[in-house]
Amino acid sequence: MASINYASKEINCKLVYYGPGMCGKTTNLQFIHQNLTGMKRGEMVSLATPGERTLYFDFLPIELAEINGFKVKFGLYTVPGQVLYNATRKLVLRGTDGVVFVADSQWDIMEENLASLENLKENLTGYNVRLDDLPYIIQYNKRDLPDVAPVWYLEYLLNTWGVPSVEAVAPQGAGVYKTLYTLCRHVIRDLVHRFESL
Amino acid sequence: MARPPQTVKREAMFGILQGFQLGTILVVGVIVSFILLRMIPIDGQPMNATLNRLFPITLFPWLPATLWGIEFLLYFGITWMIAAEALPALIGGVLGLIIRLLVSMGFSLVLSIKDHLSFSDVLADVQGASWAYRALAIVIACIALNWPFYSLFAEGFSTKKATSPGKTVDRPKQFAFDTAKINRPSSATGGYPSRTIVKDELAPTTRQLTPPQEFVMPKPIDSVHGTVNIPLKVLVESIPDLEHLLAPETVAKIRLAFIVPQLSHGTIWLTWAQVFGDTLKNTHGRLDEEMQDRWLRLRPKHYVLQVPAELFTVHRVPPPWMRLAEVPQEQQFTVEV
Repeated sequence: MASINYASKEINCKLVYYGPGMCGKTTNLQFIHQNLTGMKRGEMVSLATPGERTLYFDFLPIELAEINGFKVKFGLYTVPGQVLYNATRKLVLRGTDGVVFVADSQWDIMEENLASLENLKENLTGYNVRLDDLPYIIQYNKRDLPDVAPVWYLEYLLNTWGVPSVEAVAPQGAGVYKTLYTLCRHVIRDLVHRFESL
Repeated sequence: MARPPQTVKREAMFGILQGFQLGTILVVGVIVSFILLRMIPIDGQPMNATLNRLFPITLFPWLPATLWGIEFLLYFGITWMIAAEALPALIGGVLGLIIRLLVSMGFSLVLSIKDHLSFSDVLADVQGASWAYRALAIVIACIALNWPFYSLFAEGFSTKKATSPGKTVDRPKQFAFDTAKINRPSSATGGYPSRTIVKDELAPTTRQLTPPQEFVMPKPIDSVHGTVNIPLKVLVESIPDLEHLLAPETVAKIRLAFIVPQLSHGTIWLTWAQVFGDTLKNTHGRLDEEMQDRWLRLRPKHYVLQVPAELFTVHRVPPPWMRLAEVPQEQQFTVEV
């Protein structure tokens, strides 16, 4: 749930990159951190093993827009994708305003994608939130690798509600910003309409 | 790193509270015992005389005290076995004696009421001549220490110290990573860190797949869900016991009968006679018993691209947040690489 600081005129939103292990969540954040220019971004905090597996989470604060004089800041988080760290994933998900589900397009990771999506739904249910109540988009990552499933099959498998989806090659940055902006737009839209309805 | 003084202070307070807890148990136990002894009808005799009657001198003057001492050692030993610490064992010894005394008093009360006798007489008898009652009370006290109070002693009234790490444990080394085993991104993996993909087990031979309960078998006509060409080595991978029947290098045309929705495994109904044709090896007459229709699981990569994409069309209803109108601020998000 977004928090509003009236004193500093800030709205803070939390976006979480979710997905199976090694699907490219941290790579997304690293690319944003390295290439985001012309906007205010903070330092990226990353708690990872030397094997480049996210141990706890990555965090990258960015400032993208202004609504009625309030700066909108987004905190980008990733979760550890490994099955072992479900408690951490659930903790990072708390109070999230939007989710990017990063799917690995490789054929051999299909079951892991499905398991991770189910895990996302399950962990959100723990906070009495349904996935379709929350702005979220799907990123089909690693499109540059051989032996990847066609997008229409990934859509059939993972995109139950027909939410926006983006093809991406995270190390090269393809689709990374599109993913971020698409989600940010929906989060802002959701936020504005929610406050207007109050 | 030095601990903040507040933590040290809090731990000291915690220790005081623990000491207070132990002291309270001992003091309350002694007071309860004293009150109960005061309640005993003395029959005109002084208190110490009654107490003397509780420890009758039978054979030798020191025998009663020795018996109580042995009992104390018994309870102390039992508690030591549980707690393995002196202080809880000491408490256990005293607690055992108190329980044992209370049980004896309970017997005496019941017997005195039943036989219309003086309570103190019966108590003295239970403590002295009636060894069976005494033994029974000791057994009950032992059970009490081992059962209701077990967890209390096992935790040592929270006085047990945590086991300190052994000197041989090198903690930095314990959490170190073998950098030689680290997967690094390379051009061969498209810039992603490489990893070994753990292959899931396909349906093992011993575990026969069965159709879902709600499944309705399609009519045996062509192209129920499309016909796909599958390398026989894939089928062999799924059903290893058929290896002797199949020529792995050939490709079989099989009819995809059923796709389990939203699962990465498709399940097909394999009709052997229709599938293999002349791809079979010489089976020496064993075909009839082994060539039965059976369910088979296939990875989607082996069939998805060979069947009409319409099979994977799902009717979707967009969630409410997708139907919200645009807001002007969205236009600020236009930066692209």
